[in-house]
Amino acid sequence: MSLRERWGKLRALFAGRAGLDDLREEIDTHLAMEIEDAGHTGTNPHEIRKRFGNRTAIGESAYNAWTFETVESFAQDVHYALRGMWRNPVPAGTALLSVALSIGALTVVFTAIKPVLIEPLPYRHPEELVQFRTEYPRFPEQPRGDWMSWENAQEAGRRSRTLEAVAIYRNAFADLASESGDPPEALYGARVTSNLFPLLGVAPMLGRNILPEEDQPGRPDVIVLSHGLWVRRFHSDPGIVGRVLTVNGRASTVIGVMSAEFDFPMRRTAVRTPSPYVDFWAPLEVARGGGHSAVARLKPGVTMAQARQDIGSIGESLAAEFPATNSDRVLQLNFLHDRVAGNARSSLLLLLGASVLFLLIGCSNVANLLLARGHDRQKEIALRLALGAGPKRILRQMMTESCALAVLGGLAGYLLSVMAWRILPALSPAGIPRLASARSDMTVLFFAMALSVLNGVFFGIVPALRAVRTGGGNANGFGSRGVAGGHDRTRSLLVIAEVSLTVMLVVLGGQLLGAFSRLMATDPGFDADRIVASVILPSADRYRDPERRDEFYRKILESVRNLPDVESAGTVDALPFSGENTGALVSAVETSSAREADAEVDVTGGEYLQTMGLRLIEGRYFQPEEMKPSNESAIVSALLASQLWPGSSAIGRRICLNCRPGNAPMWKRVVGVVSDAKHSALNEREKGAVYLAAGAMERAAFVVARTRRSAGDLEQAIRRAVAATDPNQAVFLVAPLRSFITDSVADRRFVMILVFITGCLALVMSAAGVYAVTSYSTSRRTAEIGIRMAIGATPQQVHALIFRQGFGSAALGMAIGLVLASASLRLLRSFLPGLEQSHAAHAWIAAGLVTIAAAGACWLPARKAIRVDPVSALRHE
Amino acid sequence: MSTVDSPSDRLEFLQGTLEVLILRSLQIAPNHAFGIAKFIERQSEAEFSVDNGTLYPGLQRLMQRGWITSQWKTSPNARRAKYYRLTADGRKQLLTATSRWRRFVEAMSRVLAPEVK
Repeated sequence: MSLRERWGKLRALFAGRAGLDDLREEIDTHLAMEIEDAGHTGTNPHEIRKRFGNRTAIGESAYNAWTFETVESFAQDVHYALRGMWRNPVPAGTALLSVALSIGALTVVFTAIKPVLIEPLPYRHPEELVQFRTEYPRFPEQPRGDWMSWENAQEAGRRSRTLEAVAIYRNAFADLASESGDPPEALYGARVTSNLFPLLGVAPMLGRNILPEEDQPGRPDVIVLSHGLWVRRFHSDPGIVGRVLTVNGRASTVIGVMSAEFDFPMRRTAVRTPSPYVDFWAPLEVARGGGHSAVARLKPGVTMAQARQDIGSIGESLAAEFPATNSDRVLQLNFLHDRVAGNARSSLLLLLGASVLFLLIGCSNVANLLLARGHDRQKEIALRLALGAGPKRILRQMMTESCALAVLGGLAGYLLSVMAWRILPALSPAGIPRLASARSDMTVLFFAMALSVLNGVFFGIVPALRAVRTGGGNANGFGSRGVAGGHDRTRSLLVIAEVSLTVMLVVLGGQLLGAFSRLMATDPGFDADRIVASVILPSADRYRDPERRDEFYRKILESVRNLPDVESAGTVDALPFSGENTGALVSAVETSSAREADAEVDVTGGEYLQTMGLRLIEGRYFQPEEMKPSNESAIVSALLASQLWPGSSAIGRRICLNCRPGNAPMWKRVVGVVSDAKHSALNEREKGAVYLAAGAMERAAFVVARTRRSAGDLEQAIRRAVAATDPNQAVFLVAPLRSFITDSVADRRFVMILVFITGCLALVMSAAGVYAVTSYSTSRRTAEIGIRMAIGATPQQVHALIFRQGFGSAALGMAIGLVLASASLRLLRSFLPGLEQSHAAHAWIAAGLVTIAAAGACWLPARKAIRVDPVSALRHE
Repeated sequence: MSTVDSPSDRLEFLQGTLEVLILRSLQIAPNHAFGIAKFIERQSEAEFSVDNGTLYPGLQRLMQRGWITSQWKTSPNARRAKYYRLTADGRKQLLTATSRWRRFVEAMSRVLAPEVK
C-alpha cells in the first residue's frame, strides 16, 4: 500500500459521514442526468429509476469499498476459495481430509502433552519443588520409584543449607468401617508429615491443614479427605469437618477436605489400587526405614546445581557416619515436575515426533494438490495479471485460499481431536499422571488454529509463488500442456518426501508393535490366566497382634480354599506385578568363594508356589508347619541356584539374607528349587528369587487362588468369604492376575496404539497422495497418450510407462525412508525400552505394505490411461 | 459488468477489468460517473452495460489507489456534478494495463487463430 493510499484511507476514516453524504449527492445528480438524458428518447422515468438500482445500497457499497478495501478483498478471496473448493469436491475433499487428519493427530498428542509435560504443577512456585531419590551404584538395576529412607530424609532436612523444608510421605492403605448402610471400603491414600501441605503451598477447601503436633505419636487420629472421596462417600456433606469416622478400627476426626484439583503424590507407586487417585491424607507419625518418599523446596535464589551438590555431600557424610544403612547408596535430587511424568516423558515425545512426521506427510499431500490446482488455474491467473492485478494481489489470494483450506481443515482436525479425547481418557493408563484429565480447551484450539495457519502458509507458498511466476512469465497461460510438464519435478520431489516419511512412520509403528507383541508373549513364569488375586490388608489396628493377624489370614485362606471351583490357594506378601517388591542381597556363605546375588525375597503361605504354577525342579515345596514364625526353610528359583552354586545341587545349602556389617544376619536353608518367574515387569532384567514360609500368615497381603472357572465368577465368592470371617474387613481388590500384567504395560500399549494408528493413517494418506498425483499427471497427458496410442503404442506399453514413472519416485522415496527409519530406530533405541532387539522382518513387512499401497496408487491411474480413446484424447485440448 | 446480449451466459467477474475501462474513459478529459458509464457503453457498442452498484465502488477503489481524483464542478448544461480526472499515476497505470492487455489479446488470437503455423 502506497503512502498516498494510506493517507487517503486515513482521511476517509476521519471524514466520516461527510463522505457518505457526498456520495449520495453525487448519485442523485447521476440519476437526474440519466432521466434528463432519457427524456430525449422518451423512456419512462420510472423504468430509468428501476434500472438505476437502489441508490442507498450503491452509496453504501461505494463507501465501504473505500474504507474497508482490505477486509472486503479478503472476504472476497475467502469467498473465491470456498467456491473453488465447492466446484472441485474431490481434490478439495482430499486436501481437507489430509489437513484435518494431520492437524487432528498433532492436536490429539498436544492435548495429551499439555497437562502431563507442559502445565506447571498446581502448587505454589512449582519450579522450586524438588524430589529426593536414592540410587544404589553397585546394583545393576535402579529402583523405579523415588524412595528415601525416613532417617535420610530427616537428616537431609536437618543438614541442608539449600533446602527450605523437607516433607516426607508414604503410601497408605486404610479401611473405612461400614457406616449407616455403606459397606466397609478400602482406601488408597498417603501418610504425610504435617509440613507437606504448607511446603506445597496448598490448604484444604474445607477445614484446616494437619497441625505440626498432629504427626507426633500418641495424638488422636485425624484425616483429610480428597474431593473425590468426599463427593462419593459423603455426598458432598458441607458439615463433614469435625465428624468422627472409624478408620482402621479407630476413631479418626475429619479435619479437612481438599479441592478437586489437588492430587499428591501424582505419580502412583502402587500399581493397583481401588481408585486411581489418592483418597485421603493422614499424619505420618515418626517412622523408620525405607518405603518413604520426600519432597523439598529450594531456598530462594538457590540453583538446582547448588542443591544437588549440597545433597550429594550430605549423602557422602551419611554413608561415612552410618555405613550399615548408607554405604551402598547415594542421594539424588530432581525437579518434582520432571519426576511426575516419569518414563512417560520419552513415550509422549515419541508420539509427538510421530505426529509431526504425519503432519509433514499431510502437508506434502496438500501442497501437491494445490500445485495441481494452480496449474489448472493458470488461465485465470494469466488473465488477471494481464488486466493489471498486481502479483502481490494474486499471491495474497492464493495464500488466502490455502489458508482458508488449512483453517477449515484445522477446525475439522480440532473437532476430531475433541472426539478422540472423548474416548481416550478411558484408555489412558493411570500410570501417566494427569493424562486422564487431558481435555481440549481454548489453548488447544489456539494451538490447532495457529498450526493450521502456519500449515496453510507452509504448503501454500510454493504453489502460490509458482502460479504467479508462470502466470506472469508466459502470458499464454493457455494450453501450455506440455508433454511432461516441468512442474512434475516438484511434484515428484513431494511424492518422494511423502513416501519416505510414510516408510519411516510405518516401519517405526511396525517395530513398536513387534516389540510390544514380543513383550506380551513373554512368559511371566506363572500361569496368569486362571489365577485370581485379591488384596486384603488386615486392618493394622484391629490386627496389631501378630497372632491375631495369623489367625485372621489362616481363616481367610481356609475359606477361599474351600470355595467351589478353587483348586488351590496361597498367600504372599509381595505379589508379582502388584508394584510391591522386596529386594535383598543373598550370600551363599558356605562355598569357598562367597558368592552374592541380589534377589527378590517373598514370604509365601499355603500353596502359593503350586497355585502360581511354579514347577518344582529339585527338593520339595513348603509344608504347612513351616509357616510358623521361626523357621529357616527357603526355596530358591532356578536362576538364583545357578548363580550361587553353579553346577551343583542347591538342596541343603545355607544362605544369608542381607548379611552386612551392622545388620542382624538372617540365615536360611534351601529345601527346594522352583522355576523362574518375573516379578515387577515383563521386560525386567533376570533376577533370582528366594521364597520363605516363616511367619507367612502374619505378613500376608495377597491371596491367590487357582480356579477351574472364569476368574470373574470368583470375585464375589471371595468377597463373601472375607465378609463371613470379619464383616468389617474391607477387600481392596479382587482381579485376575492377568490384569495386573496388562496394567504393567498400559503406558506402552497406549503409546503403541497411537503410533500404530498414526502409521496406518499415514499409509492411507500417502497412498491417496500418490494416487492423486499420478492420476492428475496422467490426465494432463491424455493428449500425449492419445498420440502414442494413435501411432501404435500398445496399451501394455502405455500402462508400463505411466506406472513406471509414477512408481519410480515412490520407490526412491521408499529407499530414502528405509535409510531414515533405520537411523531413527538406532537413535530411539537409546531411550525407548523394548526396541533393543528389532526384527528386520517387521521392517520388511512395513516396507512391503508401503510398496503395495504405492504400487496400487500408481497402477489404477495407469489402468485408466489405457482406456483412453485416441481420437477423443486428441480432441481433449 | 455483464454482456448485454446474453445475460444467461455471463462472464465470471474478473477483478480489475472495470477499473481499466474507467481509466480509459478519463484519458481524454475529466468526466462524471454518468459520463463514464455512457462512454463505456458507447465505445463498446453496447456490448457492456455498466452496473451502478459496481461502478461506484470501482471509482472509490481507483481514488484510493491514487489513480484518479474528484472535484465538484458545473457541467456544460449548468448542473453541478462530481468530476473525476486521471492523476499521473493513473495515466501510467492505464498505459501498463493497456500494453499488457494487448499482449494478452494478441497471444490469445495467435493461439485461437484458424491457421496453424
